[in-house]
Amino acid sequence: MRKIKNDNTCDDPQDVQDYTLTVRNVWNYLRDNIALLALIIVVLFFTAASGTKFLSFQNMANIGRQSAVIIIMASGMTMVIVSANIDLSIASTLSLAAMLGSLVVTTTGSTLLGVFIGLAVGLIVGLANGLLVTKGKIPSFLATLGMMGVVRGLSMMVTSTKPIVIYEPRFWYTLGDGSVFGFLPISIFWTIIVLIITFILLKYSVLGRHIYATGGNKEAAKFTGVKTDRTIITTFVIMGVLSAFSGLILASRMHAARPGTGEGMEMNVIAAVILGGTSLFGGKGTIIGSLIGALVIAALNNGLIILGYSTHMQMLVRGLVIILAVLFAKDE
Amino acid sequence: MQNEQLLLDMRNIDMVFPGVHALKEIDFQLKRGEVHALVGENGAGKSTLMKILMGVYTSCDGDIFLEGAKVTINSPEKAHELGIGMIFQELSLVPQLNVAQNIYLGNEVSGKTGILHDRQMYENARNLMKKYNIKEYFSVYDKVGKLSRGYMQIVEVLKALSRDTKILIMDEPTASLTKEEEDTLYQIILGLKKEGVSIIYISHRLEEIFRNCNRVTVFRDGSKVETKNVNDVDMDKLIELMTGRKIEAAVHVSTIEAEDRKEPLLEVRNLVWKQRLCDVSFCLNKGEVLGITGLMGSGKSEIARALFGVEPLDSGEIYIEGEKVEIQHPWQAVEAGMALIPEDRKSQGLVLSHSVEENICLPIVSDYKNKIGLFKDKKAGFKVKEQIARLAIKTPTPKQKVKYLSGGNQQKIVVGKWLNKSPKVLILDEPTVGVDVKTKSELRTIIQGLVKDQDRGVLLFSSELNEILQLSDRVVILYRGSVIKEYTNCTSLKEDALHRAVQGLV
Repeated sequence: MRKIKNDNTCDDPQDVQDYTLTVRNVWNYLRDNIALLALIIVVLFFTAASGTKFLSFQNMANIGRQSAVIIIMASGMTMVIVSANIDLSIASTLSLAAMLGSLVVTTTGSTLLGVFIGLAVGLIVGLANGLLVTKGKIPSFLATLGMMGVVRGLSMMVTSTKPIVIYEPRFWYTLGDGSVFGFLPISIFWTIIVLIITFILLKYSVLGRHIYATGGNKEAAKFTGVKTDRTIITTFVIMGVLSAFSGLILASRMHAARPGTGEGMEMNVIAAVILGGTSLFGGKGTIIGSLIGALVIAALNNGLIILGYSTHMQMLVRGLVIILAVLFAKDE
Repeated sequence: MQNEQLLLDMRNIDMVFPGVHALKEIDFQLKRGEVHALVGENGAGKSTLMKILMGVYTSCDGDIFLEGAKVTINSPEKAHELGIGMIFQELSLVPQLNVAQNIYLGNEVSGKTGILHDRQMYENARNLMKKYNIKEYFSVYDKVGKLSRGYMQIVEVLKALSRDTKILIMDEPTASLTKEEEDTLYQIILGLKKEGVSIIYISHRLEEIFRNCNRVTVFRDGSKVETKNVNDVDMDKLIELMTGRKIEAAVHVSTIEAEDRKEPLLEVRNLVWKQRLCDVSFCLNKGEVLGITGLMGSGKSEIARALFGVEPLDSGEIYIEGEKVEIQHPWQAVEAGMALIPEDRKSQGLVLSHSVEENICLPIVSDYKNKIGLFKDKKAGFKVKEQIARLAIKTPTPKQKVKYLSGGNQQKIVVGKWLNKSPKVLILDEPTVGVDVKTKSELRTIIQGLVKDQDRGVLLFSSELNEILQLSDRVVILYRGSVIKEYTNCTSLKEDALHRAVQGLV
């Protein structure tokens, strides 16, 4: 009887993998990790089109610097999306943290205090998002859409939309504009630190397990004794702090903070995470995937500039790449 | 009855599922304007027969005649066309739409251009209510989401009637209704009868059958036992027909002496929740299985959910080992030493898209962490393998996603995830529903094994009386949200006594 499923479905060969290196296996692997395939194609294409310019060390460092904040925020966004939520307020948070942090740095001269205030802004916005979503029971899309407006408005109000110029070399060099070991841009150094921490958190910590379970099936997680509300709030707080950190890095790199900083950034970040294989429905996704996704977005933007295309073209191509990647990805 | 004409005649219906002979040459006749009850235990074949009539199952042997003409029902749409409608337990209404819009959903009153004729639709809906004598409990403009469960059921009935239904199938229509709503439904059934609509009425509550139905057909193990006029039988006779002579099949296996298990583990006092639980009290002792049973809607699932902090109670106290515990969230229940194996394993017990390993580990991740909160993968992995072996979970690897496993194996995983946690009180809500026979007996063995540990106790909520008898040391009977009977000695208990008790006869 075909309506009734055979009871011995466990013989299903699904997920029993064969690791020999054949064309077919490599192909399947790339289909599962669509961002990696996209990265390879993007790099090959721009290398071919621009000669050595694209692959030069100088340009690689550029891509690294440009992608730093996307990668940092994509790491946080991975956790938020794995828990089956989304945060649209990240670009606004980035801007408010940059503004307030810079204001404190310029008025007090203390880099430490500035950074502290900036990160605190992120923490508060994240906490507010988390509480609205869990205790207020507002879908995260709406809660953070509202916060996006509120926080951007606050950011504009700090200086009545005027930029803050920062003359504090210590602040420049510790976050965005210096380098470590003589060759590694400091923003890349911070990005690596964030990547390591979030990777361990999501993959090896108790919190990580709870995030996956909450996103995979909130009801079941709750029935298992997972404090799902607390888990979701934590992901939003981490996201807020990482957005704020990104804002400080940007301000430090530009030696200035503008209230309009980062507008539209959430699209880059969400695109990177989705491209990296994280499921919008929750329960599935990795930091490494998001890293590669972010690199694809950064390489695309950079390569198109090298080839002399306008920012409009960047937007168009970025949109197409996302649609193609999702279409092409192996669906379950 | 005035018109004794045959409306539906199903002959020699035979159906085989892999491993199960679900229906064995069933003959079933329905007269015009009668209310015909189908009774039998779970899995006796009632639902299968109805699904054949509704065109859900299509590959069966036998013939179906409707008003004397042979028909082939190969899809639910075809069944609707022929005038056969079914009211499902899970209602198929859109809460955001109003009553009239729901009644005509998918069958809208419109012109050729597709523009709705709203006024006509409301007019039709009102006429429909008038025709079947449905008083003004609600207006056709009311949003369905705001109606009570019982009135929703009436809207569902109206929806079926709007399509010239000749045969209406009702599956446990009163399971989630209050007494008052029930009476309303009975009024409507009376009205339908007068209009010549035939009703097939499936219910486990036998008193309803005596109240509403003309004839009753009893099913047992896929066979039709008998069709009788309701006036010719009484409840005892019906129970006898339903259970047959198989009562000795339930062999009670409790090995613990009554004196050994006097120490209370979980005490529940005066639980009240909405209108569903009225003053429920019971006590689970160490080292025993307490069976709690009752018909659908008697309050079983509500107690399980309330104990585990899923639904906040209106009032009531819970004591574990003599100490009062406050439980508002499931995590508090877990910390208090309880574990729940929920009725709906797919939506509440498992993360289907995750692996066997991840699912089994979930309750214990917090117990296997080092100082900085990192999870000890290897140690927990060892625990997972232990459970897979102990419960004989059939999976190619611990990394297999649970959605690819069979229902029985999935249920074992839900059990396995709690065994690592060693809960003091294990709450099982319908643990063997939708599980194949072999796994069923395996699961029962596991449950019996659990209480060998004298510090633990098992609360078994089940509507399978056979299972209750086999596993429980004591049995509590629920009826309409109250405890009406407690059996302290199960060795001499017979299944037909339980059957009578769940019907409220004690």
